[in-house]
Amino acid sequence: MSLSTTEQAACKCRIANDFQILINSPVFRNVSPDIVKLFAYFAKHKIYYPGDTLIRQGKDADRAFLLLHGSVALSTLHKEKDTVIQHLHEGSFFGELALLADFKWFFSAKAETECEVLTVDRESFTKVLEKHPEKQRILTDKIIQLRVARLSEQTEYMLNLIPQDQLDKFNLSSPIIA
Amino acid sequence: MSFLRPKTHIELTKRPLFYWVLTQYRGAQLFLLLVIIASLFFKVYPLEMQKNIINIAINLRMIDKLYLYCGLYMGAVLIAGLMKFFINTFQASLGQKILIGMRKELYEHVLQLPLQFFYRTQSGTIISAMTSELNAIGTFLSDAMAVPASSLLTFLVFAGFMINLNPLLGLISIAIYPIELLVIPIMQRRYNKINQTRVTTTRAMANIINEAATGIQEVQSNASNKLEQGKLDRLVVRLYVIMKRLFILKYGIKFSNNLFQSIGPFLLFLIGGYMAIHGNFTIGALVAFLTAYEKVYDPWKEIIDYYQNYQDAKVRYSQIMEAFDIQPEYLLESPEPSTLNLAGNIRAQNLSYAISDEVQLLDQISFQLDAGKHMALVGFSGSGKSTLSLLIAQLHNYTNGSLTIDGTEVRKLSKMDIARNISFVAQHPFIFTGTVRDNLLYSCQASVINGNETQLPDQSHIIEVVKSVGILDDVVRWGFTSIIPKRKATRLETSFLKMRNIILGELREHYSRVVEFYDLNKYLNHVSLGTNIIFGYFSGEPGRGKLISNTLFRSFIGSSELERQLIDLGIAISSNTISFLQDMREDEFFFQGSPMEPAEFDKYQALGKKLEKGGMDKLRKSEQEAYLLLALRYIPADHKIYTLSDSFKEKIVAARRQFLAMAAPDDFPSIKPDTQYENLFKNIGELNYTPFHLDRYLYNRSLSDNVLFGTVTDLENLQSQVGPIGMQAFDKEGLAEEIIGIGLDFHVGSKGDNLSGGQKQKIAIARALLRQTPILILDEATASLDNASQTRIQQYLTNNLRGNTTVVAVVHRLDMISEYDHIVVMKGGKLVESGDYDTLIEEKGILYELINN
Repeated sequence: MSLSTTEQAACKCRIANDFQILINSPVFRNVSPDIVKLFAYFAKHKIYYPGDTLIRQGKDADRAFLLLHGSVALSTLHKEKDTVIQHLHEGSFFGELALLADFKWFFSAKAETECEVLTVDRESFTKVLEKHPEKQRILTDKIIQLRVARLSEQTEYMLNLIPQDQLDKFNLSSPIIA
Repeated sequence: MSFLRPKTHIELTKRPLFYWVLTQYRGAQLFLLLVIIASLFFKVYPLEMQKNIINIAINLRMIDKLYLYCGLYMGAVLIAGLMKFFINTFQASLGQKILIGMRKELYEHVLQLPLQFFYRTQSGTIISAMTSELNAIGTFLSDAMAVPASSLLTFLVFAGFMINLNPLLGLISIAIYPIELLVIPIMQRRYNKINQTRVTTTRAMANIINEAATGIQEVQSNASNKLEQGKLDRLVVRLYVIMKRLFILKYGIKFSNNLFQSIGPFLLFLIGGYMAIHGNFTIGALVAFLTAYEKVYDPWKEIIDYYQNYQDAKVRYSQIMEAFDIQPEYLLESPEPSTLNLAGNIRAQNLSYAISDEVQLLDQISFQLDAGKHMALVGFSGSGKSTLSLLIAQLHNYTNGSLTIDGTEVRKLSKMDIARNISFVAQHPFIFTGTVRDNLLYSCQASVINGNETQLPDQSHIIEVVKSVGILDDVVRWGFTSIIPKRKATRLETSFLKMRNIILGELREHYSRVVEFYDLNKYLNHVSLGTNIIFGYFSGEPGRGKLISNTLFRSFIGSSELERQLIDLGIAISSNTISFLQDMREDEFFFQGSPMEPAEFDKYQALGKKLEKGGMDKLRKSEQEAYLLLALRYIPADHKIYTLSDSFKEKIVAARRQFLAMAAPDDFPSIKPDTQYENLFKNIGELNYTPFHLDRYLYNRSLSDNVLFGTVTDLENLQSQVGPIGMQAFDKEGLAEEIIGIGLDFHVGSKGDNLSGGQKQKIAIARALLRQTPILILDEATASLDNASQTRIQQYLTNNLRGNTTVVAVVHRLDMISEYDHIVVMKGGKLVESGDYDTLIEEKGILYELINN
């Protein structure tokens, strides 16, 4: 079993390391260091190998993922077939809605290359925010903004796959819709 | 001994209490009576000797006579005592024997009672009647015959002895007893009445406790402790009042009895003394008289006690019999031994079922189902489809119309016939306490005991059925998480080590992603530092905390600089934890990243302050040990609060090798020990130590620990991806069956509490399928299962049972009913539509509407 990069570095404290990673990520940028430090304490490293499942559609959603390196394919079951809806790369933050609410994953995530991720689960997230309730609003906002951004990315990706002549049928001014 | 069996059969619940005593063990009871009579002689004889000792030996100063009489006196007392001992034990065992018969017959009766009885009777009532109340009756039964006989006879003999000594005095002292006979029964009647309310109150208490214990999940999740407590409290108070009144009466009876008793001696001294002074009565006779009077009191007391016990037992008995005074609806066994094998043609004609005049649950149902065909019962909830399935299974008794199987009315079949031919799976099946295997074989076991089957299904048949109902994965998982008892493990060891070899060999790449193997030369991030050093475990102490008190381990780390380094590590972990979790200390959740426990926070904080002030030297031995403990508990993968440097890890691995060289030299012959440790492990006897060695089975560790030979780091992927690959490989080598076998021995907990609703249903279906009866009835048997499992089981029914087993299934998933030959649609207790799927859909009737709702 290969050791993760952070463990190989003879670093005295993994928390400090993860703190740097988190505070530079889009969700926690500009969030007070005290809080990020707590998230760094709870965050867990995990290595996935090509083909491994990070998220399985239909299972309980309980954690969010920050992709440290490697690439991940998001897919969803469509007509009983797993259909890729997006490819994610280093630095992507996904599954973030799991931090806010309990639901079943509506997509799957599979490692395309060897990946290292940092995960934060909802329970920790909630516990930390209980300690700092004043920060709840700003973090929730950020998570939703991130989600919206990725949703539009996904839509873009999906629509790009549809051939132009097919796409024309969806045009608002087209007689079929109207 | 029961050579005199009752010839006329009285219905169980109508039998009087003495029926049990008088109809059984008559010979033994007669024998007992004879012994009692014989023992009377030895009771009276000492009195005679007493008189002789005083009147003859002492008076006439005859020393040899004194020896003789004293010897005879003692001998008689001894024999009387021994006989009493024999009588007591004999009659107690006789009483218990009678109780056995009583309990057995009663339980047999209860198990046959109609379901309606169990719907309205709380289980607490049944339990307390069958156990504690019957026990109390058992105590009385021991006394039932012997006590009145022996007491009465003793009483009469002593009374006769007194009258013989002096008719006047004798008659006077006995004259008191008849007065008592008038007073006591009056008080006793009052006592009985209150005693009845005591029995009902105790039963109510048993019911409340039983309900709370059964529904403990509801209680604790609602924090309704006070609510439940309140229910009991009311009864506790009521019981207190009842008991107080009972005791007042009981001791009142005792008091009046005592009062009458002391009148006796008073009269004796007065009259007897007067007569002795006047020389009409010898002193010896007076002493004998007084002794006789005292002796006459004992049997009298016994009679009174007996009377009270009898009344008490009568009250309990009548209340038990009242509770169970219902007759079973069906014969358990047909009068003639039958080997009825039904084909499974079910026919209902105007079948109705009502539980009262107003409540008609089923109304004029008619259908015909040929053997081997599958019928689906569909409809809204409350439409009666479940009730109909219960009628076919003879669990309810139809009130009108006809329901036949192969032309015989279901009502006329005995329970044995039904069980032989019908398997029934309830929506909420009951799982018995025991193993998965016990539960799977429950029906088969009953069938073997009843003589319908000669042997239980073999392992391969069980596995096949377990596979078909889709519970195999669970069984395998249970197998892997089991800790196999040493005796059994020894037998299977080689198989498990083979599995380990497969995983560490050909499947290494797959498994190394989800398991951290016990690698001799690597620091293990998923086990504690302590385990990293000893690279194994001391048996009998799986807890990490105990390693610190292991003498061998302590002298090992104490003989090098390691101990000091570990204490320093503990101090570092402690100070990190304290500074990081200072504000979060009251929340246990935040302690997951530290080996420190929330309760220890204050202790370590105080220690830290002490250390800051005075340094290491100021710390006591036990305080240094606290830091050592923290270091030994530290697990890198879990405890993010601290990070171990690679050089320290290397140091630990080096220490591990030294430890192994000393503690398990035969397992690791290639490691050469350093001289400093050489004398450490000599003469220390049994180590109870097991190293993580490739060829060693790890006793007291789970099968999964043994086969994986490491710590699971990614359970989810192990179960979903890597596990199946491993099972395939094991199966190829013929090893899978061992694991399944162990999984089948998984203990399901009290009433199956360790199982999910789905698992219970799957086990219940498997239980029914294993019986292979010609008729199978499923009452929403798959309702708790996920869609995939439901489909799987439906496919099994269609593929394997169609044509050879008649199936009646209450179905709530309408997308499955196309698999059935005949569909009955019900509404409000009536059959509103029936026919085959295609026809009903074509007709666009109610079924069509239900589906396309």
